[in-house]
Amino acid sequence: MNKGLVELVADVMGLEESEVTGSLSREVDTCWDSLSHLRLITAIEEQYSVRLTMDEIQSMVTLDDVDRILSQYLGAT
Amino acid sequence: MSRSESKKAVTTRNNPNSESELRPFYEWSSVEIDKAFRHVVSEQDTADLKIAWLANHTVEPVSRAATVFADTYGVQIDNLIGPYDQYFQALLEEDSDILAGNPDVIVLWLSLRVLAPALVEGGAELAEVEVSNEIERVCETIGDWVSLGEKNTKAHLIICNFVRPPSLRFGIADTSCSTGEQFIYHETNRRLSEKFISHPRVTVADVNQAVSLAGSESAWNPRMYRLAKIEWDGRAARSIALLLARSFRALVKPARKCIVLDLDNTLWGGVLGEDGPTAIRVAEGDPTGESFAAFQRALKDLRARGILLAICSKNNQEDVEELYITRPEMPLQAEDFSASRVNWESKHENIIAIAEELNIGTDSLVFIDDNPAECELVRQLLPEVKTIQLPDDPADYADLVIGLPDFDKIKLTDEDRQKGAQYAANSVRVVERRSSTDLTSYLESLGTELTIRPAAHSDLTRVHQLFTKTNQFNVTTIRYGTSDIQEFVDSEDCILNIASVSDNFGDLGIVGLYLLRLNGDKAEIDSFILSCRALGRGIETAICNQLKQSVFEDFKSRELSARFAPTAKNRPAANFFDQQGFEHTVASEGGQFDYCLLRQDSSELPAPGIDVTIKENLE
Repeated sequence: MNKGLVELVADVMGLEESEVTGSLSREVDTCWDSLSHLRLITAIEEQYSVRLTMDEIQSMVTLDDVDRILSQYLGAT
Repeated sequence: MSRSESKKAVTTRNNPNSESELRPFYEWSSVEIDKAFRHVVSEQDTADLKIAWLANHTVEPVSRAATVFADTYGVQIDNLIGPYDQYFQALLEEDSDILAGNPDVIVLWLSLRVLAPALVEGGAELAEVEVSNEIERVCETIGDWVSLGEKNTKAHLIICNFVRPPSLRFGIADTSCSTGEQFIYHETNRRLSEKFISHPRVTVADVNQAVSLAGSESAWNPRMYRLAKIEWDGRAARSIALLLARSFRALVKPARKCIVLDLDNTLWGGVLGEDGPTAIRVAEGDPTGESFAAFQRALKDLRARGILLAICSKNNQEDVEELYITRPEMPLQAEDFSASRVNWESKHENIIAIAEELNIGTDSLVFIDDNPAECELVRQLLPEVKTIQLPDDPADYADLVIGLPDFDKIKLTDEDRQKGAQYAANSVRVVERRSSTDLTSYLESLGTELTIRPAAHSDLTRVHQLFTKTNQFNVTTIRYGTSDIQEFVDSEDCILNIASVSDNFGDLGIVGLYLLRLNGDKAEIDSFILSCRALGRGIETAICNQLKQSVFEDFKSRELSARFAPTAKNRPAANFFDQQGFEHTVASEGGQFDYCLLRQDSSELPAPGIDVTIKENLE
């Protein structure tokens, strides 16, 4: 997973970086509620100068989803 | 970055003052706000202000950033977020968390999208009369809410105005349509400001301006609105948060009262003693001169707001006097300065002398100088003074001084606007007093006229200021809020009288008050306050004479009790009751001094040179 993304998620949600894994999910993990989801989106858009669509924002359920969608914008694999 | 490092990053404070320098809102990123917010909340002990947020959209991006910014200003806030779109219920329902929380401030922030959707989407079809009816309804709704807030809470109410959308529905022709959005938002906001202009407990926050500072095109984020009803996010949220944090700060922290200014390369370009009065740069004609003139005009505006100006410069006094004569086009002239120390003594000593002359604390001063060494000296020796070292380019000076939050007041009163002139007159008084050998004849020469009358509702803002801002001549230093004051004005068991003063030099406005509590044939002085501007002239004695007469003759009381509660600042009032003939009672406790005066022991004391008028009401 994108190293910068791990750092960003840790900062936004107040986690240790070791706690940030691809299986982190907003359906399961209480630290990732609807407001912290939107803070994460804002942080990602500011940090990477991207603009996510509403569909993309809604379809980001696990951190792996976030990483996958973000990497399409960043041109990485 | 590890968690502990990130924590350190947000607590780095490079200003020696208790309050740290706040970076401009546009330099913050969302992640920094998130980190700082968590840190602030985890470090918080007792909140200075409890803020309730009532809105019909999601306010968290703003409330979090406001918490961070207020903390940087040294104000800890505790947020209470009301349920979505239930701003009336929150003030009405018996089990309301908002009412139970007893907030100090309620922020009402409504979006027209929910409050008046007809005006926002599809509004192009509205007729002119429909538009004005909707605007009327919006203003009435907010007026009803404010009445409820004033009745059911003790909170200060902050009403956010409405933000013009980035794209206008009639395109570039919007300004020529009477139903255009330009008209709708301008008219609604204008009416809101007008409606609450003289409500001491209500202020309108210009959120519209805050968003335009951030750039509404980039700030309005329709995705966040559709997904989460977040109207303003990112940069705009931080700009709004800064505006609100300044309001919160102004509600708890007294504004600084005076700017002490260096002269050479601060008020003008060049060195007066070397370049001479005709060569210094302070007028139109060259960019540098224009910038210094603009800085002086900005300072003049601050003076009109009630902030005093003083000079502290290493120069020759005669050179400065010659300059005023040689350069009458210079915006600031001798009479604009309430105090002046032009000599070769050290700046910190001069600054202390200026504070003494103006009868204010050094903690209410801002010192501005271009010289790094002078600034450093003052920072070290007088850390309570806010010291500002000017940047290199004079182009920035005017905006720098106008933008300082240190002078923020939540509302300005007529007294504020006259204050600069009052203090200038006071300086003349000080000078005269020095040349006089007989105090009584000096006091008589002032021609002091004292008027005492009951406080009315229209005095609320000034009375509240006296209760909250007066530190020196304040016997009990009880900081009553506006709702308490309203009760005193209406109550039969309290006498809240105010004193205003004018003299040959000008009008000092309302300078003092006392609050009496009546209980059968006993009366108690709950508060006795006199602004430091009116000290040293026997005015307190003249007011006390009237107080005694009122208590013992009008209300036929037998016994008058009083109390002096010492604080770090109220020494000037320490012997007041002894001087006025009160007796110590044995029951002094907790560091306080209790006094009593019986009717048979009461007598009027001399207050030379003061002509007293007593009125029964405002007229």
